[in-house]
Amino acid sequence: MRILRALVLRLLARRWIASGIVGVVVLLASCHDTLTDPTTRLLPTARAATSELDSPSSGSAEFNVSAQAPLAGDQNLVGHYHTATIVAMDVHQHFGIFGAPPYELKSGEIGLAGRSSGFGCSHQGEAYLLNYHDGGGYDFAFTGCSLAGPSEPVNTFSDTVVVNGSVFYGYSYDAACPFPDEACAAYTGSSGVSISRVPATLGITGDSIRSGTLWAWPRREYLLTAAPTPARMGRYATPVLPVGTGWTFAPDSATVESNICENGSGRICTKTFQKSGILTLSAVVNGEQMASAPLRVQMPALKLSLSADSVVVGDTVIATTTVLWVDPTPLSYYAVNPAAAAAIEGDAAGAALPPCLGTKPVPTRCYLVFTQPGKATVEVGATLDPRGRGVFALARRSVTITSNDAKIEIAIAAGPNTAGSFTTRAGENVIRLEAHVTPASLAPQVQWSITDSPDDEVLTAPLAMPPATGASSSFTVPRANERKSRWPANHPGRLIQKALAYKAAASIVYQGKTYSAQPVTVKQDESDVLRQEYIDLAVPQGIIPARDVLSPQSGNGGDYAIAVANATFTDRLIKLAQAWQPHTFVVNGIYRDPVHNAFHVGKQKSSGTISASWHQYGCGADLQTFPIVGGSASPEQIAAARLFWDGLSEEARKLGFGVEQRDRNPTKPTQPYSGVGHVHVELKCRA
Amino acid sequence: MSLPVRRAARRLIVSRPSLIGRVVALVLAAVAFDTRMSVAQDVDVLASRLTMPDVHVRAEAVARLNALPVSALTPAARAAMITLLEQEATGQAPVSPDTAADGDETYDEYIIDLTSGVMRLQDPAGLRGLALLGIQTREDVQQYVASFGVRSLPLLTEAWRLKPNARPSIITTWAFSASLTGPNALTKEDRQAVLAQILSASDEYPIAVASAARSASLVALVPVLADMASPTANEVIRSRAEKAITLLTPARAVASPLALLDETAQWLAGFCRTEGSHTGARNGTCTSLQNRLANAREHVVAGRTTPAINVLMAAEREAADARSKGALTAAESALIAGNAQYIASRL
Repeated sequence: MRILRALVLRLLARRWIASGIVGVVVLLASCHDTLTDPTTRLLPTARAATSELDSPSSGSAEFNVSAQAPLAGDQNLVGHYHTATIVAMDVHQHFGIFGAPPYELKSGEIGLAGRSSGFGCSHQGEAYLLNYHDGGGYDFAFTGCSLAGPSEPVNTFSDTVVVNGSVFYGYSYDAACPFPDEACAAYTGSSGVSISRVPATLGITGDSIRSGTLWAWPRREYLLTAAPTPARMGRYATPVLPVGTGWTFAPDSATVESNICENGSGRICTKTFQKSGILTLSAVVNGEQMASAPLRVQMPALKLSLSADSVVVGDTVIATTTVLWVDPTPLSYYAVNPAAAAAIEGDAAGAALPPCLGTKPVPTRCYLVFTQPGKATVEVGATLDPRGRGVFALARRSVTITSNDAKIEIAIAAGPNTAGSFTTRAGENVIRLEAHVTPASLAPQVQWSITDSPDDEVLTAPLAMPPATGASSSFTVPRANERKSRWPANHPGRLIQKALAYKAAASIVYQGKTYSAQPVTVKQDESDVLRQEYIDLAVPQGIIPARDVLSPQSGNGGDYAIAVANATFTDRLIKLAQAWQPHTFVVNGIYRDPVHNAFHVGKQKSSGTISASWHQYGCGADLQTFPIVGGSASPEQIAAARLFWDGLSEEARKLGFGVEQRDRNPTKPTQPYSGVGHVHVELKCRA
Repeated sequence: MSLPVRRAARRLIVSRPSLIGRVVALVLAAVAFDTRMSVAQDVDVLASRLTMPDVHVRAEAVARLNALPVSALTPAARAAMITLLEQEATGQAPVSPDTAADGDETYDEYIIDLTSGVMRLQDPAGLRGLALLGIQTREDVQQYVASFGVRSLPLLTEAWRLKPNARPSIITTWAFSASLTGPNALTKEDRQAVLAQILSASDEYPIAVASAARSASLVALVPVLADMASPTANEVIRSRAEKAITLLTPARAVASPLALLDETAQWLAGFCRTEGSHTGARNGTCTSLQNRLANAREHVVAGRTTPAINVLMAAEREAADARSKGALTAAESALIAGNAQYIASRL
């Protein structure tokens, strides 16, 4: 290399003598040895990182010198290009040369090629565009000497060139004056370059692509090519470098697949498709990362649509079939499964369409009439490849056919208490109503009718207003039912004489016809009938026993098989029995329901016993005295009974019971004292 | 028509046609009852119903007033309750237009309810009604009346005189009075009088006396109870007496001989103050027995056991003789003789 450089310097010295121009320093002489023909170079195809891949869209460098002796040479960075990028380049250079005393005062100039002579290009004062590759090495995108010739110097030049890596523009020194006479001439002028990236777009091409769609047979391999526009830029093919997800396929109904090519990810991709979808390519195209225009990949398919998928028996449904294939072939058939669900009858409501079933050739738009309720499947089939590849396509759609009769049934008619029972008390008096309706769209139109149940002997008070319209509704049991007079005078009576009960009826009108649900009776159970007594008779204590204090009973306890059981009172009664030992007593009665208390006790003579009796809460007891005295009892028997009464009442008081007074009862004037027959004991069971 | 008015209408049907005035009053009260009023007005309306002749009306009004908190009762309502109980106790309450069937317990439960209503007022003004009637229904009423000490004694005496049926409860109430301590405790003389009355009732009201002995822990009555529990006695009397003895025995055992001697002397002083005790053989017996018990006390205090026992044995014999001579009743004799013997056995 040193030998070459010395030879160049000698040649330049001879040319300087001929032209009388002073040169000073040799720059970059050795670099020119590596220059190759750009038209023969291959562009890189290896994958690159996806970050910072875009090349700058433009770049420039500009130099000015004035009376510089000798021309020193200079270079500046124009830009950095991560990938090989084709740019439009405009360069210019003009330096005037002026001799200086004592030498002959001649003048001259040099252009882009620098100093030239009969020996050719000297590389002195030559303009150049230089690529320093990221991976090492360099080359020249442009050299001024390529423009050297016998004609006048070339001062401006435009071309399409490839840049890559760190790109510098510069010009070399000119040592035309004999050394060391550096001041034999002076240079004045400018040199510069501007480059701009050539824009491009990206598409995908292939042999089977028609009208922007790849009509793909199953099990066939397709060749697809990245297709930039323009395909060439000057002397170069437009560079394309797949990056990132590369060739990407998004099936119509599956997850997106990246880098799908069976031959790797280059400009050319081979692929066998199994599904329809969208194919795209992500690539750096001439220094700019972009995604290709999407390519539809369409496998042979049929698309069936129905005008309705939920119909009523007798409805007509229009079927429309779309053949998704490049060459639509006639459809093969329509079918309905079960076959009995549809029939060839009717008309397509003025659309003048043929029936789907039985029409040849098979139409793509036709009608079906459904004749049975249930689920049905409509199927359309076609042989899309009659040349023997066995490609067959079909499509199915489900249809729900409901009866053209409406239906309504009452699902719920119940109060809030156990088993749907209720009372007229707030919180227990709202009856919930729920109806099931077919078709469901009729739900808002459900009409409710609530009337007194005809299955009992109670005249239950009517509602002031019917329940609100709708499948879900409710009503409040009117307080007009709280009538003491409605309770039967007979003991014990039957529930159908006491229980409040309503008949709930629901109906809808559909296509001019009224459909009614089977009525449902909502009524009080035994517990709430009993509890209703406390409400209707307004028991002065104001306490309505909870349902869970009612327990089965047998005995003289009123009108029901259940009674209010108070544990405190019962425990105290057991203690009284213990205190009364060795004697025993017999409990004549503890519980009385309010109606029994009011209407049945002593009804032969009295207008009813005390309305506030604690018997109504299971907190009063009548304890039989012995000997039992009747109308014919002897004075001794009465005296003995009296002693029994005195002893038992004393024990009861000691245990905290309230005991009836011993004084005579003025409402029973024939009896000289209150108690002989039994001792009444009680507790106030508010807790 | 609302409920109260309907109820009144039913009463109209069943009432006697001749009682027009009462019916009119009932209807008017019912109409008034139906009117929406403030709580106080409602209370006063209820109170006004306490004067109704129908005991059912009164009973329901009492129950509704009792369902209210005491603080909700107006002074008029309180006074009406107190007045009504006193009227019921003295037979001054309105006469019900209807008599009751055998199974109708309205009046009995009403009196319990009315007593409870007056009791919760804790108003001394209600004392007479409680003493004359209320004490028959609940033990806490007996204790309440007794807690007034000497103030309640005339009322109990009145009750004893007017209401023979109330006597068992009066006896228990006296017993509570006799055991009263604190500022209202009876004076020695009043207590002696009360003890004498309890003892004098033992023949006629043995069950009540047995109960009273338990209530006030009257251990000196054990010999009397033992007589009641004789095999020939009525089985209820016998069982109650035996139960009382069983319950009193522990307290009697832990009491000191001196305390038992003093208590016996109190009983003796009590029945020796009664009418007829200051003349004849009874006077002599009383004087002699009081001297013997005093003499015995001096010996006990001085620690002279044998002389004390001798004196007590002599008192026992004298008391037994006095019964046979008619100077003392059986109960008086049993009390002195039995306690003298028991105290001597403890020395």
